[in-house]
Amino acid sequence: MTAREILGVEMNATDEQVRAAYLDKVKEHPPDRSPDEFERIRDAYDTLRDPRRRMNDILLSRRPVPSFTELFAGLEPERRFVGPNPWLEVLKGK
Amino acid sequence: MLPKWLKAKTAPELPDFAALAAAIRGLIAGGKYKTALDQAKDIHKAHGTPASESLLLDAYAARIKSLVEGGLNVEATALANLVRERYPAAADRLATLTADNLARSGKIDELLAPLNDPALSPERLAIIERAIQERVTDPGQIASCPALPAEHPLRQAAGALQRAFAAVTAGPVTDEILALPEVSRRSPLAPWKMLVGALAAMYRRDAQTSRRYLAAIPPGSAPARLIPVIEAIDGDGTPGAPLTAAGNELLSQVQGDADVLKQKAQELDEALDDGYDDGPIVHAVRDLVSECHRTAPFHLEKVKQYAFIRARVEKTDIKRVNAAIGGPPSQDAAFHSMLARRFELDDQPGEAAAAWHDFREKAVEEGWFPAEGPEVAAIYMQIAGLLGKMAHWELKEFNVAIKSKPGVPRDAAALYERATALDPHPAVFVQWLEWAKKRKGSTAENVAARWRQTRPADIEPLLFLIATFEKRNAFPTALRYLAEAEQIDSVNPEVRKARLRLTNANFFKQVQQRPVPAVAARTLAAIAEMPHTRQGDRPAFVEALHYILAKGKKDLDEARSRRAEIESLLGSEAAAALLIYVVASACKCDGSEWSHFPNTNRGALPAILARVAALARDLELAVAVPYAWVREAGEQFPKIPHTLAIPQLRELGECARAHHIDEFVYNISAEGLTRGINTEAEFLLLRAHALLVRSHDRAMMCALTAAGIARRRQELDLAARAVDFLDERFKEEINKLEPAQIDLVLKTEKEETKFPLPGRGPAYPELRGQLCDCPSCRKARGEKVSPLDQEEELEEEDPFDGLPPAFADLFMATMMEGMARNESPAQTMARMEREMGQFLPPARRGKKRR
Repeated sequence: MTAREILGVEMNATDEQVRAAYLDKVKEHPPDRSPDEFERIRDAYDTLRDPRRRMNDILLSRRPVPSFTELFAGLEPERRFVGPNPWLEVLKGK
Repeated sequence: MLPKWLKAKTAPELPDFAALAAAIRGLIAGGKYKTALDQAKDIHKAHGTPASESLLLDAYAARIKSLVEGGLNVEATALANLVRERYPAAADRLATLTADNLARSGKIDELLAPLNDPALSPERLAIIERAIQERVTDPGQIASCPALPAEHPLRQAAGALQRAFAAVTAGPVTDEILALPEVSRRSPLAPWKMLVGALAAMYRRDAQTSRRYLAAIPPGSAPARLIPVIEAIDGDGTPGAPLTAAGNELLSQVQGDADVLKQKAQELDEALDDGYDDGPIVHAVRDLVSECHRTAPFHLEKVKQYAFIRARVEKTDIKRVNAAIGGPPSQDAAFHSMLARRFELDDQPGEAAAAWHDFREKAVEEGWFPAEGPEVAAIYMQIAGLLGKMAHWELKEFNVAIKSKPGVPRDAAALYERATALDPHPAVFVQWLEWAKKRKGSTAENVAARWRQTRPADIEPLLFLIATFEKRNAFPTALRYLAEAEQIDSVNPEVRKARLRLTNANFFKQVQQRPVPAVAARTLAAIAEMPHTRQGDRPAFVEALHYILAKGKKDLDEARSRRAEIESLLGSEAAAALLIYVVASACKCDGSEWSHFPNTNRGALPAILARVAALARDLELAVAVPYAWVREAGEQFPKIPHTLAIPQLRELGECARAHHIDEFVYNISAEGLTRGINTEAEFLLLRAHALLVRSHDRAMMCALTAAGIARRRQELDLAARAVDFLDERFKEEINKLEPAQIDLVLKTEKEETKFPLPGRGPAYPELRGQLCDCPSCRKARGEKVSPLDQEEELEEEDPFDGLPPAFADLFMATMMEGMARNESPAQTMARMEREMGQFLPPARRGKKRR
């Protein structure tokens, strides 16, 4: 996994977004409970904090375009916004 | 009309009223409202008491309620009015039914109009509010009700709810929309506020919050009818209770289905993998985009970008793909980076370089990073690296492609130059220097000079210049750079090693000249004064240099005295001879007079060889130990078991390997494997080297096992060396060998102390899941073996049958060695004659060989 994938940030994430994602991940995996995962998160954050390493993370990405199967592998179906009427129809008891 | 049983009994004997009332209530409870009403009328006519009137009103109420629930609002209203006229005292009792009826029939004006009355009783208000809460199915009805003034709090609340409900069902909403301060907790519309919150949480996939909101909705309220649908969506899609037709329809509309999308994605991947025909690819792209548009619109742009990139890289007809995805995708910085990297991985450097330029432009435009900084420098270096991989025609095409980009550096040198200007970081210079080293002329020296100019405190460019001039034998220049390097970092290990190495090399060059220049003596004096040369066996080396100098000056007395000093320091005539030979070789002097080992105490030869080899390695001299010495050490080695230390075994192993004396290498490995667990992997790898020619698969298994042990012991360098030794077939096995199998190979190899005959010894086919294919083994497994196979096996039997085993062994070993040295058979035979001649009787020698 790349550093961006570990922290779950987009390629164009700002410094603030990277930091926020890092803090969120640390809350999820604190060093005392999951030291290995924390180490990974810390490394990823160090990579993305350094402009050279962050750029190399993009320039040397091993799998820039995943297969379409991978793209949708973990996809949960999106909930469609259907507007108020179908909901109101149910309320009217039809 | 009275029932028969009632008619039969006339007025004076009226049946018990309580029984009649119970019968009527039974009919109401059973849903027979009309019958109940008719009978209640008859009873009231017969009795005419307040109790019978109350029973009649109950029957009326039930009947009106049933009409309301059956949607017969007009009939219900007419009946209610009739009852109200006949029985004015029942007005309050009918109010709830009337309110429900008004709400249900959409007569919100009539329902809400009493709210304008300031004298409205609290009981009546409660009835209206309950009807609003339970019967109003659209807050829009209240929001647009003209019976209330626009500023009425109930209308305001309903308007806010109508807007929030429309927003939350139409798309993602912000928390401000959900705040709804117009709707108080006591409002009859409060359940709608909870419903809006639950919907927003459901769309955000926050099931916990959604559940909290749903729990706050009163069960009898109108919004509560949506609870089963929302719970089904938040759950696994299966409703807990049966839904209405509209509920089921809503569930299917809101809930997507990703299975079809995943299927289409897989089909496109398969079409791309087949890749020979554009038709199926374009068809699959169209299907996926269409399905994605329907099921996962948030992913649509990504799908289009990926499809476009795959099509561009894999040379699919891009016009057809564009048509299939409904026009080109958005080409933002992320798109260009993916495209560039994909081109790179597909070995299309020209396209990749052009795409990286596009990426840089877009990323700067989108504010990813500034136009001048380390990020742009990294991109320039990436492009420069790609330029080095391009063919001439690709370079031309690339230059045409970036012609439209003014100010963009076009060649690698210019790119590196710009990169170092933007980011003068050592890593940038390292890459530039690596590139320059492959160029002709003084490019690399110029880059090093530029590096020094930009970062004068860096030692790396000086180390490069030292090495460059050392290679050209320009030692004075190299020493000048070394002096500068010492000023920057005198304790740097490379600098310290370079001082002795360069001075030695300078001396070697000087001592080759005839007559030997006086400066050689000064150089030697400088070497002797260095603190490094006073450690270990180095004083013997300095004495050897003095000996060579004396020989060069033809000062034989001095030479004799120096040689005696070396013998004294090393404690051995043979060691002194070998060291002088090594140093003479380094000085390119004729060392033949020292190439023969003394005849005395040959048992000490392995230790002497190891000692001198270690000294030569320490001084970075190419070890040039004569073949005969190593061969003889190999002969002596089995006679002195357990006398040498591990470092000595290592040195001997290197010498034996350098001369391809496999049996000696094998014997050293056997000795090493007895020295405990710390060096097992190392000597197993040495054994692999010994067996490579003679027993390939066994050699591979030894290396595989060595890699396994080294990994287990975290000796990563050794593990890497073992893996490098493996051929492609065995590299695939690297993670398959179980710990028990590692132990088995190790144990077997420890037991195999004798150098095997060609093709003999364990090969471990069973450990690799392979079965031996020889006819005997196939027969033993009960497989069919043809007579032809058996004949072949007979033919394949030992070709040296009948010959003395020692001769066969020697012959095979020499032939194998010849193959390893890339000798022709004739060269090997000649070498065999040379090496074995001394062991053959003089009369047979010449005759046999011809």
